[in-house]
Amino acid sequence: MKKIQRISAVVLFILVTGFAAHAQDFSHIEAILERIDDQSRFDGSDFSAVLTMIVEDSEKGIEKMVVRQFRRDDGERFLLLIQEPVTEKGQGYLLEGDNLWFYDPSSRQFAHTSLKETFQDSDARNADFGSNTYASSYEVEGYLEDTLGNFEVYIIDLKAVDDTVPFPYTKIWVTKDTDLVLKTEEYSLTYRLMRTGLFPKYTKVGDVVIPVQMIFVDELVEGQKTQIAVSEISVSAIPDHVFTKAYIERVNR
Amino acid sequence: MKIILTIALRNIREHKVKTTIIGLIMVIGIMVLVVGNSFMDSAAAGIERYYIQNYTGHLMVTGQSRGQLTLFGFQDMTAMERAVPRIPQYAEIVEFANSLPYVESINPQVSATTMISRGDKMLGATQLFGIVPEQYQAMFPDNVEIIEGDFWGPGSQGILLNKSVADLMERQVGFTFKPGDKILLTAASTISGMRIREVEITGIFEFKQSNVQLDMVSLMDVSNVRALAGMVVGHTEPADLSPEEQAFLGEIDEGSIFDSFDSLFAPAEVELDVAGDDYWFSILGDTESRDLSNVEDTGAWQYLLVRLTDERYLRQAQADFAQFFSEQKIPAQTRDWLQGAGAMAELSYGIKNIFNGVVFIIAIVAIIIIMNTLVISVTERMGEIGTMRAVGAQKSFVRRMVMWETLLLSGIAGTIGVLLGALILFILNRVGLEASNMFFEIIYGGPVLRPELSMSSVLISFVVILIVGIVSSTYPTAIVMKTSPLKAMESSR
Repeated sequence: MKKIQRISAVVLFILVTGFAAHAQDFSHIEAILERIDDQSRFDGSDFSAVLTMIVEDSEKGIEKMVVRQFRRDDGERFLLLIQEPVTEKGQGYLLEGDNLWFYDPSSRQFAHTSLKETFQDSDARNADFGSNTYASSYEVEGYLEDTLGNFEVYIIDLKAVDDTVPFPYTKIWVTKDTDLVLKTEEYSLTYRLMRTGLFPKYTKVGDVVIPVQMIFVDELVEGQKTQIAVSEISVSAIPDHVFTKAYIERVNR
Repeated sequence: MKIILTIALRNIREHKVKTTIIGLIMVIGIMVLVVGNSFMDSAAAGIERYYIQNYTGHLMVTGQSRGQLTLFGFQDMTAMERAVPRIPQYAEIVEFANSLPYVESINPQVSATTMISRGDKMLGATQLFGIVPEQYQAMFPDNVEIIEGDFWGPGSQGILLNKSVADLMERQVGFTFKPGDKILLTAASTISGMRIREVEITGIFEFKQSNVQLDMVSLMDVSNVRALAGMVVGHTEPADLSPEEQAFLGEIDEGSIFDSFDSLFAPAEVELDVAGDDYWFSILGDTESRDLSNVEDTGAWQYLLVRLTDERYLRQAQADFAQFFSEQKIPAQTRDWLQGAGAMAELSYGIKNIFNGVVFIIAIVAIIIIMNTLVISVTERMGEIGTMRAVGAQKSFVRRMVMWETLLLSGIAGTIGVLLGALILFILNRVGLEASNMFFEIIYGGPVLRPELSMSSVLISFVVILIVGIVSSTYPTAIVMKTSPLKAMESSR
């Protein structure tokens, strides 16, 4: 009889702790995600910068791209205009709300593309050039407390709630005191590590905090990675016509 | 000899039940061997004929490169990272190929993988073969069946859309694509980034002999494929990096890059100047050098497919080309049809080898059963053999008699087995084995397999059955011979 009682108690304990774990409260982590998103958005001002991308490839060697970025987070718009290398000069990516268009000056044609696609021949995804959407695109699956270098961080496991993001599972390393994402690991549906992102340098522009140094490591092809340096930052107003197809066509004439 | 044969024949007739049982087992065994081997030989020949005649030729000339280069581009982990090399000194190679007496025809090609869209809808993907219609049709005259429209005319541009691709797109948008419709093709190249081309559909076609990989191939004018594949005259200069840009090259130590808050934050240098219209509209600066860089490299090809008058010249052709490349110092190489045909052909061969293994195991089982039956049948006749020995028959006479009995039985059963196997193969050939799914399509090397009687399988089957017959009768006969006639006769009681 005592044995049965003991077993029942253990089963009950497992069930209770199991339910407790299942019903774990992630509200403070969700609040962190909200803050990460908020501090990455340029609400009320435009943003422009020059992105220098160094694409490292064990086969092709090192390539450099220079891209001019214009961003208006009110209305979810951005324009990426390639300036270097010369063969790709004038190619552009125009985001208008949910629509992302690619422009090829050699044929003067626009084609629909996706934020999930890779940017040119780099390891960056088109989605990397907009503001963060961790709170709206992901749900928290769990978290840990750890350190990364000399920083105390939360390691947060996220699962995509829709298919608008490049990868269905993401793990992010967020500083505890400043809500800065230092590292990301992005996984496929089968939970295979696809890409690692490192963000070793940030800068503050008004209330907005943006990474000015980003490194994306392709975890499928050894020796392949892309680093992006952000310079010539400006928050001056950008004319409306810049975020139009007509503008891209015109600057390419 | 005549006496032995007469006795052997009489013995076979005498033991009707035993003869029938052993004979039947042999017939079935031989039939399995003949049908199985012929089936696999037909599949192998089918795969080879299907690829060589329909889209690879016997060999392909490419620029020198490591990795698994196929007509569909690189098919390994570097597929998206590397551009297919252009054939250097193409004109000299063509001249050399045409000078070889065993070269029947040549066909140059360019390849690109593209996404197809219409308006703001992405409809699917297609693999493009950039070709010159006259040359392509001369080399592969039997495999392109035009359903609607035609190839683009000389000096014109257009795409001959594969019906499978058109059907897939139709299911996406509920729109039937017809000649005259325009589609947008987008491709990413490692040389010139993404490229878009709007192309008119000049026709819809299907490959008469196709597979899942070939079903995705559409044929397009070479000029547009070159543009999509980034085959332009310009090239990217090696990157000149500043010390800061070089800081993160190679391996990264995460511990050291996240060492302090001060190093994490860089001071912002925010520009506040409001620019005028001149700034916004001249942001790209001069685009002339860009336009010059993006001029099509009109003489460039990625593949030169070579069809030989006979397959037996393949090794000679590979050797001749290798010698020519070496003498002329041309960084090019040849790849045989199997390398060129891509993943599906390799998969076909891989699965075929597995099936060969299965046929081999079945053959071994059949051989063991036949041997076992023969051993039992000879051992059972111990009494009879003992009696023969007691009345004065020599050991060699008995041995030869048993061997001839087995050989006769093997010969008759073998012939019946081969004939039955041939009949089964004839029926299968007439009916045709349709691949019910992709798996069988891969094994068959196409949608239908029509197996043919392979002479090598007949020969192998006869040799196997004769060896089995001799071995299976020699061993038990030797045991019986060691037994004294008296004991042998006693064992039969």
